[in-house]
Amino acid sequence: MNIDKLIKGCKSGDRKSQDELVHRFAPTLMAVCMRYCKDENLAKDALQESFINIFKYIKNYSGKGSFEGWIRKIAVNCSYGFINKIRPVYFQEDIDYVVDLNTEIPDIYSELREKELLEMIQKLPRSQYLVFNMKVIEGFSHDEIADILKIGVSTSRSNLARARTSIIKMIESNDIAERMRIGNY
Amino acid sequence: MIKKNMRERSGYMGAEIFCIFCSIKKIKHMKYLEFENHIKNEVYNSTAFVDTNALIAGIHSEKNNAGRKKWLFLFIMVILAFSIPFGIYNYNNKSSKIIPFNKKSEDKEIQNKELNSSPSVVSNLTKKEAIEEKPITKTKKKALNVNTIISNKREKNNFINTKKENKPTLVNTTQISKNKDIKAKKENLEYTSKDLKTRKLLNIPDINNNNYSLIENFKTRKILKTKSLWGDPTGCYSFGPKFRLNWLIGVEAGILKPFKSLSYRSVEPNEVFDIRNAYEKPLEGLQAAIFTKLIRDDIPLYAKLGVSYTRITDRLKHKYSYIEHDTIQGIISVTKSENGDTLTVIMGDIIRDINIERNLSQHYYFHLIDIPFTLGYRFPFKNFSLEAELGAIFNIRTGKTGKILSAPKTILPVTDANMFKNSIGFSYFAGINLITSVSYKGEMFISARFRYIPGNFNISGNPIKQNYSLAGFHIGYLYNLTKRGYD
Repeated sequence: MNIDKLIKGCKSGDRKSQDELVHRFAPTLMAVCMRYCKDENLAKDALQESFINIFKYIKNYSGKGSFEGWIRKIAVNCSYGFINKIRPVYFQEDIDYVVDLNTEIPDIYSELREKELLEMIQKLPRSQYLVFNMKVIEGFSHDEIADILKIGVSTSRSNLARARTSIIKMIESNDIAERMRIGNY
Repeated sequence: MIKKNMRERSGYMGAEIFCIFCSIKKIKHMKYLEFENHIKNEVYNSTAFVDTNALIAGIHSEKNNAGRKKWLFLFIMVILAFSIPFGIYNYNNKSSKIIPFNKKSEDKEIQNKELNSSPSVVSNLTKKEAIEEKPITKTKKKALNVNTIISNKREKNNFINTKKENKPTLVNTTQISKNKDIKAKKENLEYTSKDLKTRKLLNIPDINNNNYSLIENFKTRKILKTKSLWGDPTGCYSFGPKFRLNWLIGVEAGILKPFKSLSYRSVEPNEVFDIRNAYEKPLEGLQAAIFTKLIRDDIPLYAKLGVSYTRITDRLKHKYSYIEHDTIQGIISVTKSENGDTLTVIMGDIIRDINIERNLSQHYYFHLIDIPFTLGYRFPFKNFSLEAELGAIFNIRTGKTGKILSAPKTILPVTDANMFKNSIGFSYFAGINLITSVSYKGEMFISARFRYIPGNFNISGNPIKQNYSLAGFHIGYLYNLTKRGYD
């Protein structure tokens, strides 16, 4: 079924269209929820809640912007709601935290795959991890992130900067160890 | 080769440094921003396995659950809202019965004097004496028109007139001469032979007799009590067949309290059983039924047969925990001088494992479609009846919905868990009903019932056995299909 027909069917409450939407987007949204919740059962609950909210608010979807982006935002919102309920996330305010995005890192890191990359970024503090996920991976703007996390835009920016700094440090510390290891041949 | 020779020449450490230098020179670099784009490309389109059918079932049951409780509450409120005032209204109307005329016998004189001379007199009857007369037959009605007795409730004006004048007055009658009275009565009061026979049987006086004085006999006339088990609200005798089989249809709804027992038939320890036994509790049970009832007028025994739906809700409320890795900023190194003064403090990432506890709350439901068969005994009283009944219930189907703990940290849809039977077979129940008439053909009842289910709900291969018994209250309505309007 065409995506526009699917959306139209869901807006009119057609059960078939709703089921088709779930079949099509559930694996993607499950990955999103898993990234935020880290626990499978919690992610399943967040996913179910996400779809309930999608069907509830689909009438408000005007068609502007990508539909997948819209439902991903709902999934992120639901997931954050669940994790915040279990253990509240605290965001540190930092002013004028600057990071150089042109810092060079070894090219070998471009060969890392999804699992290794997630392992790396999951080492970030919770607040930085959330902002990094939403900004870099999901592509939300700082205004959208501030809206979801109920924080200021500057807090969002500073946490992203701190996240980037932490990743660079991780890479550098890994790099030195890797270099030492390379020497032993 | 070159490297080997060089190592041999310069010694171990020097060779190491040189090799590191070489390896550094070989490493290509990219910008951090490119690395972030790589992260996005790798992670953004990732997918994870999910059982979409179970997810769809969960989504729609969540949506249905939200509305279901509201509708049930509304349904119960509507039944109560109609039945309670209706019951009160009918109870009040029953109490304004026909007052037997012979209760007020003080004005014998007035009746004898006044009414014998003029049959159509409403005389010095005071408000107290005036009664509303209900005719037994149509022809009787005509007779009453000739000798009218006015209700104090309805025709106050006449009383006002009589009161003032304190004289006998004629109201809604025609003047009939003394000799013609009886003839006129005869014309109006001819009964059929069937009626006569019936009247004889019932010991009702024959008013076609010339010597019969209506007024005289009004004093002693008794209201005939119903011999029916129905407690007819009108108090009128039923002229239908004496021993009629009554056929009723009824509907009922009720709330039940499930009593659950969980047992484990194996020597080996089972964590799932331990968790379920500790944290799984039954919540409410709901039941609705439609049935047909047969009862005879003369014998207080009855039988019922119907179809019922019962839903039993179970809930698992359980805490489980998992480890989450978290990184916080903290002091990782402090350098102090010999004097104890702090020289340097180094802040850095501290990775810690946090044990997170989560409350898990999952529901699952049993949906029982049954055919109940009942035998009961009715004890009729003045304004209500009490029934005691016993019955057997045959379960056609046991449906299951919701999610259940199938492994220590795994929740599965009940249908996928493959733990329960599709039918639980026979069960038995006993109940007491309190019934009252709300209309000529209708009755409302409240009942208390206990249902014992001997069989367990689990399939034969499952070592965990789950049993239920149910106790609860029902309200319902019965409608008599065989009762005729003129009975």
